[in-house]
Amino acid sequence: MTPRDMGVVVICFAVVAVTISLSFLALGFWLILPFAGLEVLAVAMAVAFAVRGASDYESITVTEDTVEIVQHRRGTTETHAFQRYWTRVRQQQGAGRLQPMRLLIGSHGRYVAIGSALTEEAKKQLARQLSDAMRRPLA
Amino acid sequence: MATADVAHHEEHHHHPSGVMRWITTTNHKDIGTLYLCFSLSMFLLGGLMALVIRAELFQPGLQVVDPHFFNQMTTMHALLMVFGAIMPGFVGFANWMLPMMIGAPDMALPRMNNWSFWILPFAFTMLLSSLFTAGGGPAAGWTLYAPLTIQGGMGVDMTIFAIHMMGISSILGAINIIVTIFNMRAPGMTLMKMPLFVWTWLITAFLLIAVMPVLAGAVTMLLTDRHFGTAFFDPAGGGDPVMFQHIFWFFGHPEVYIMILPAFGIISEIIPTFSRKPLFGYTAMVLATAAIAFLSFIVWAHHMFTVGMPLTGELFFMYSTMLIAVPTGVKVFNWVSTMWRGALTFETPMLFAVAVVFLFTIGGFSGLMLAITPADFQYHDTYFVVAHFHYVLFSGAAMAMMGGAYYWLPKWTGHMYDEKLGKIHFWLTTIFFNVTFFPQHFLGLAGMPRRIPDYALQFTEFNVISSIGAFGLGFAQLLFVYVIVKCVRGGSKATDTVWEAPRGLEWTVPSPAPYHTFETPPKIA
Repeated sequence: MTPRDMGVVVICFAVVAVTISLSFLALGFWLILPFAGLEVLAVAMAVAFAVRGASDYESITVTEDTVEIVQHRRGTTETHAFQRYWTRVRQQQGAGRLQPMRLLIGSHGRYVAIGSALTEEAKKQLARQLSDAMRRPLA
Repeated sequence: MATADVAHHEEHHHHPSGVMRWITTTNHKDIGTLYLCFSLSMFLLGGLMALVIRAELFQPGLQVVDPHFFNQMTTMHALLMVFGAIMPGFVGFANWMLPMMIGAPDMALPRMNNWSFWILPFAFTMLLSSLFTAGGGPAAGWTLYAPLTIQGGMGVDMTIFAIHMMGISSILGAINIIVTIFNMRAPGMTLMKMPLFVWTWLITAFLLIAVMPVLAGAVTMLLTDRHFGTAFFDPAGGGDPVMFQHIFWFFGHPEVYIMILPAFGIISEIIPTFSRKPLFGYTAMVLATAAIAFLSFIVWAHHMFTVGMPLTGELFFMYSTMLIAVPTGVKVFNWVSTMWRGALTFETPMLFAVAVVFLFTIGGFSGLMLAITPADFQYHDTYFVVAHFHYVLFSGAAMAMMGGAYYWLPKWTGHMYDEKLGKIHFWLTTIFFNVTFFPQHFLGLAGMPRRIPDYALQFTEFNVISSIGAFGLGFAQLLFVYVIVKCVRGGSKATDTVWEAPRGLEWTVPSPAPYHTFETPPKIA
């Protein structure tokens, strides 16, 4: 569904939830309204999060000379290019046990975080795969 | 120049193991398994409480427990079965099956999915702990009617907080299901191509979101009446206890459909497979589900005919309740029509599905009897009501889940379950269920009130039969657990399609379903 369609869905939820809670409010039972408000907020946030993230992607292209990272997030696209020979993949541990590990790629002190939506296992797998791809001579 | 593109999703097939896998998992199949195991545990624990009730009612007089503990058991049994067994059970099915049925790689919000589940064990620990507090657990029935709950001990407060937590879990689960269905369907999977289980869950999720704030508000107002000097429901302060009933049932009746619509979805998957025919009247089934959901909002006061309301109100709620028989009848007609002239076979899932259609219809008919206001004046608060809702919720919801478990177990585990034991489980469950609950219709018609630990002598025989049936029903479920464990541990290898002619994307993936499925969306014709 398009973001507009999802917006309509959220508005429908809001209308139903608010109508019900306003009816009870009119009878003096006002404590339903805050819960309905919180719930509509949660629905809107979840939908917004899902819709905005639905078109996100990262593409990593390793060519003979360069490594190009294209990151499409929240409707904007950023492109980073590094010289392949100098490019390194680094795994940066989070500050605490609950902080996720970050996967960085770059060279000469300029690094970009990639794969932020991946699990730790998947990040390690990707790091191995990228290192292999960059070491391998390309015909 | 050669190019090496790295797709992120290709290679994360390794996953953590041990306890941390289950605590930190965001995989829909893992979370589905957690929900289903949790639901089964609560089903067994709630069943144990039912056996305490039936042991006490085996004979007139007080033999096993004192009346206050009896009341705690009736209340806790219901809360565990409604919020701990049936609702999480269906969420478990949704987690396992929805992404696979719509061709999605996972749920839309996997981290939220993890939180949705892990709230539940804490909620139920709090609820069950209330039994050990001074004054005991809640004893006012699962409806928590005021002003009785305004007077209870600390256990009532713990119950209120536990209900809040269960509500949060349900809402998060519902949001996730809605976003997943709307946003993550495979290309070509239009709304009217979705399997009926997906449709029923989509409508159920809407119901959940519409009514959960009402329950949250109701129990919070109870809490403020108890501790913060308000008088929403406390007649001593000018409050209106009847309004608690209105508010509770405004949540409670849609809740009944929250517990039964996904069961309809499961049955609508099983019957076509074993009839070797497509579902009869798919569009009518979708519309009937939506109609039931809509009507569920305008029938709540049929639970309170005897409380007193204007005649026009009683007529309105009587007719609107009877109207529900129309879309429900459409469903029953369509299931029967699907079977009509089909190449039927009766493997365990189909046995359960047919039993659900038959027994749920009995529950539906007794519901129609209860909908008639003058008749309800006689039946209200009797064992007839207990028989009615067990025919709806046990032989409707719980047996549909059992059928669903047998149906998809080979897909989940990669092994065929023991068909012979499955059938024995089915027959024991069906026979003992009827032995337990059918006599309760007669008890109710003869005037035995519900929620009493002792009764007049003339009710003895039917209570003895009912209690014997209950113990049989309880022990039969141990066989269910054994069949599941046996299937998980091994058995003959299941094929990808498992059954002869199943429909749906879940049967296109290997058995057991890989940890990650549909990372590349399937194409739907």
